[in-house]
Amino acid sequence: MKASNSFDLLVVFTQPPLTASLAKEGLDLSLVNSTFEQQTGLIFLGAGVLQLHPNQQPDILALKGTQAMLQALGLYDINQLFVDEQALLDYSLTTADLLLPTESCNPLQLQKLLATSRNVLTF
Amino acid sequence: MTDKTLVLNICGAPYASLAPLSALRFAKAALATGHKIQRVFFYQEGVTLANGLSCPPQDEINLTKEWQKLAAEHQVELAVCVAAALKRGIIDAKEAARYGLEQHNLAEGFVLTGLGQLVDGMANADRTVTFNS
Repeated sequence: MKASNSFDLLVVFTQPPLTASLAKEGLDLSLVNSTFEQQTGLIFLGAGVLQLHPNQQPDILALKGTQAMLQALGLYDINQLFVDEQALLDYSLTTADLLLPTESCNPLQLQKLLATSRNVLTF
Repeated sequence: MTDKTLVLNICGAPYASLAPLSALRFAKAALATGHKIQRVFFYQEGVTLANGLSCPPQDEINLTKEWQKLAAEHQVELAVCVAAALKRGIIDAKEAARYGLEQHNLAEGFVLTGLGQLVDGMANADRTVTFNS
């Protein structure tokens, strides 16, 4: 695990998809942060891991969804995505199920990430 | 204590959350102890504080006015995320013209700006403090 890296900004996702604009606003910020050449990492906690669920159909609800933005993260050099190991278990998911490559982290690893990042914003 | 440069990031709406009030009280305390507030950024529901048409009852605190007063007295920049604002009906004259709207409501002293201003603030300030809903 690359958690020894310290980030300029960690963006933490805590809400499931198809709720409010929170995740979109968190992703907007992540992309802008990266264009300013700031080291950006993403953490998906609790129900936030569902943001990375591969089979979402937001169009059924006339919602836009964030899949396109998530797919674009790599183009913005945002490649470090961390997921809450316990949340994956809770939702019967593994990292292989998710939309993007991620690292599964235990509470200590998550704590270290949060403690070493210059800024943390939670969505 | 060494004086710090602070950026405040307000994400909660006035009245529906305590975010703008808590941030106001924090800002006053920080300024009173010699810290500098470089910028206040309004994001998510926090942008609705910049609605110049809000009229709370006379005997309640008018948070928009309180922030305007603080900003004017201490030269604090009140930066509002343009994408979050437009989505929620907070708009200035320039954007109203662009979208063919007859009205605009951005309160005086607030400026519509991009998320880059938050990123720039976080990169340069000693501390960024977020006030969520």
